[in-house]
Amino acid sequence: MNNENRLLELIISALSSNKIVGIVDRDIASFGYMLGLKAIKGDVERGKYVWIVSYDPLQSLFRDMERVGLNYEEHLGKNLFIFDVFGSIKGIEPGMDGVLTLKGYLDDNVFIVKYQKLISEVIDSLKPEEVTVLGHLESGLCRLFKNPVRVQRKAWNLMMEVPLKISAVRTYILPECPAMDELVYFCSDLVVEGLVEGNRRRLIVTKGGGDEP
Amino acid sequence: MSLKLGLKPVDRVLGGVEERSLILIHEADPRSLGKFLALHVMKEKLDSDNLVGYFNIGMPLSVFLSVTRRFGIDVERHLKEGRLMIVDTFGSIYDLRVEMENVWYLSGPISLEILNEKYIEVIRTHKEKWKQLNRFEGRELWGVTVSISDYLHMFGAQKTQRYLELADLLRTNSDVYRKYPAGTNVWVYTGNDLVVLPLLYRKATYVLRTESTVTEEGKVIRTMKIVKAPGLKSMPAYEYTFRSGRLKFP
Repeated sequence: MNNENRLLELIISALSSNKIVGIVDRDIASFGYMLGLKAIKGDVERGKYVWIVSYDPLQSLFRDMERVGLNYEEHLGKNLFIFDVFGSIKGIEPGMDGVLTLKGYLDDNVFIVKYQKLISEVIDSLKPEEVTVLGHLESGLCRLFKNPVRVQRKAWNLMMEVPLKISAVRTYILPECPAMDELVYFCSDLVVEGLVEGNRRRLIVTKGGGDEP
Repeated sequence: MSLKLGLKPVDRVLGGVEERSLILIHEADPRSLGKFLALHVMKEKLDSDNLVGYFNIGMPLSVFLSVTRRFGIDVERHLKEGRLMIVDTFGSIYDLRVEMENVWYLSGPISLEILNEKYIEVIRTHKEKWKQLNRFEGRELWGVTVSISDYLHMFGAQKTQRYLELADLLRTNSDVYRKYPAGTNVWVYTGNDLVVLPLLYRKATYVLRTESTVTEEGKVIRTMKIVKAPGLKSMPAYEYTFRSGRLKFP
């Protein structure tokens, strides 16, 4: 088994025991974040509830899902839901089943209040017992919010207080938004980093592989 | 008088730390997991029945509780048994409260200008409680703050710098540190900014810097360097690992 498949198995096994996983790309060319999409693919295909919180434009997310062979159209609105943060902030109406956006005025604080309300509404209507959450490119917080670190921490707090079994994987491209890794390293059970050294792309476990807390 | 810090190399090489001193743990990169050194100190002190005040600055308390639970600190029990008190700054500012015994929230609107007075108010009330319960007798008193650098995300660097300079002065003048025992403090600072960090390097009695590197084989090496300590000329560095989630120095 190659290194990437081994890591993917490690991530999937962490998710299946309700752990928190962080994937941090230190280089824009390391593409470790694709592991996040690959890791949730199985859950989506098995009909498990999967919620993608996307900080990237919707079309980029769809492109990346196609690249990992995830047939999202078949599941969207059934067991797959995309919370489109990017579209919400930019006021873009997706007009698609299963893609949720926040309407009206939004700033850092209002976003959290409306986000909390949306999470409760979705839980009330679907009544899931267990959800797999992918925070897709949370590094996008830097271009969407005034105080990205504060929004990141409040958003994590919301997820921790949800009365459900949650397993979460969150992805970051660090050069786009430094300082995001502090919370990731403090809270995650497993962290994988993507690096580029010379002409070599590397994916390594940097927390949770060697008994770290 | 010197106290054991609970971090092996510091206790071995320096014979512990001075009582009432300030120990700065500078987590130069988050991958080094320097915050867990502070949590380890806290765990050791609580498990040996000493008193700890934990100052939560910029993390939601729910996050802190979940992390400490996994790190083997029984926060709920220590709170209940009265040897731990928590001041939740994040929850106070953003109105995210966790109602638990001995968890304190700062009242009213909060700005950096009045933050220090609010801390002193809470510390005074809790120290009076400890005094009434006769808890100080035969016990060490520790303050653990995670993380001072969070103020930068909350208020900006210049304001944080000014706050720390003034807080120093106000605390020296406050009776709360004379009327009641004063603690030995561990502060965590993450990152490498050049506005606030230099001030803390000068202020602290001890500076422990944590860093991490990745080897050719893809292994993470974590080191703690004693950058500053009374009488120490060199800067010895020590590797550490975690085994079953617990901190280990070889």
